Amino acid sequence: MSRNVVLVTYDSLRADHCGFMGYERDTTPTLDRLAHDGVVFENAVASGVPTIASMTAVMTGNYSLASPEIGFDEAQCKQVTQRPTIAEVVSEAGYATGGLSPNPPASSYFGFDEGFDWFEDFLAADRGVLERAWNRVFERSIAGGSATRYLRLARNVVRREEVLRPWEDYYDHITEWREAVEEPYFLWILVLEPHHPWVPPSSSQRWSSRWDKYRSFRHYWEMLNSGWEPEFDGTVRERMIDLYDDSIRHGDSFLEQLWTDLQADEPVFIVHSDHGEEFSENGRYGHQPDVTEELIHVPLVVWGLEESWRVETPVGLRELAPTIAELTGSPCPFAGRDLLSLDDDTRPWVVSKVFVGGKRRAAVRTATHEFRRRNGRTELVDVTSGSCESIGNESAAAFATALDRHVAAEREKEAVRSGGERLIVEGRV
Amino acid sequence: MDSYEADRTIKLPERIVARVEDRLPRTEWDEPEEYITYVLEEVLYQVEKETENDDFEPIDEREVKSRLKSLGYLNE
Repeated sequence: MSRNVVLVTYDSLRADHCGFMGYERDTTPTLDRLAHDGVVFENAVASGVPTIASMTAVMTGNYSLASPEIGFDEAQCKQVTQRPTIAEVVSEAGYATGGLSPNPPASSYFGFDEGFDWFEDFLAADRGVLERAWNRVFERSIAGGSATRYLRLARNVVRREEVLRPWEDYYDHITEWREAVEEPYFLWILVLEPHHPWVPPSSSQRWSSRWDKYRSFRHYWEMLNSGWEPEFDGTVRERMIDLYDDSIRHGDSFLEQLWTDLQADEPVFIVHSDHGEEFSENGRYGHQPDVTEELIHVPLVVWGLEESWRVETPVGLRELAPTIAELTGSPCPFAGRDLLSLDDDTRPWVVSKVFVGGKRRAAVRTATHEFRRRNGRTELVDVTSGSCESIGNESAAAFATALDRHVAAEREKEAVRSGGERLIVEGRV
Repeated sequence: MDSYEADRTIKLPERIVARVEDRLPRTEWDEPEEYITYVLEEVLYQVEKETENDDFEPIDEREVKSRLKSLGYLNE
């Protein structure tokens, strides 16, 4: 029998803020239950940061080679639309496909609706509306903007309008879709709750106070205006973490609801996050396009296989596409491993990367270390202790070789792609 | 295809061959082999041209793995 598959993507959820990953707060009770009875990938790594780069890799099985900070760029959209997506693959295999994403970088504008019979992103399919939504909440243009913009942002959140929708607002769309389709189905939901600005409903506030929530706006504004490098003191930082944790807990209640409501369908749940979040580590807040451990280490749990195990081997989110293809019995056009049948001989590292202004920032992540190369500089971090190691020549060379191998393969693929483009431009094929 | 040229049989996914067959009516070719050979010839020409000056050296992944392991970075 073909299994129903539900993919839940949390936006901005750090691995180390999840209960089953050892966090001291009870932020993720439902996900912890799924983790207890499911497959836990202890070293799951986002294949890119932020959302647009990460989700391109999740959906297509390929890294995004576009620069996310450029925003509304055709090149960005092509990264998704020029390749088969997992939704297209399972749809062709006979699955009903539904997707819901309230986040513009993972919306139909960038092609994330490809392959979904039903796709809801709350943004009308006209460029103007999308660009305005993007500018209002995500683009840099908001920084240095007028107080009116700030007030509008605040008003939108208070009124729960536009892109900052809490999950309760759209939940009915999901159940209505489920009732209307035949099994098997593939359902993807992006849950925005852990994404800043954090405004958890009062009923979900365990660690933050009502006042914290109102102050949160000013802090968010300062983050935007300081290029994500605000000078917050320890108290403010703690307050933001309290709000973040409450928002995670609120996002977890979505999973509880969906898991309960879909029990009868016996779906396989795949729950992950697109990337993490920085709280002053590396001198920044938020999730700028970079490959630090705080940003690339994400939770990943697969539940519903009647078996549970933990995987220490690092895995990349781009490998979800071949995994879902295998799970659904679909033909697999994706490179990469099926994460549910890794053998002992599997590659013991993965690469995360993102392009900023056309320049690559990349990391090689093993189960215990992260080697980063950004702006010509290299660093080696022991991820088990968080300490930055000075790199001996031998170690640096070994890691650099692993990264060079990856870069050579990327260049070859790009050369093939541009060769193909030239043929099309010249009208020869 | 030129019948005097030596050839080898390789497997391609059915979906790729089907897509090539869909393109054939627009071309001068009758067989998918001819289309695929043309595309590969052309693309490889561009790829080879683009990479002829780089300093690529083949890297054996097993070698990388064993170096990282001997330096203590892989727990196996």
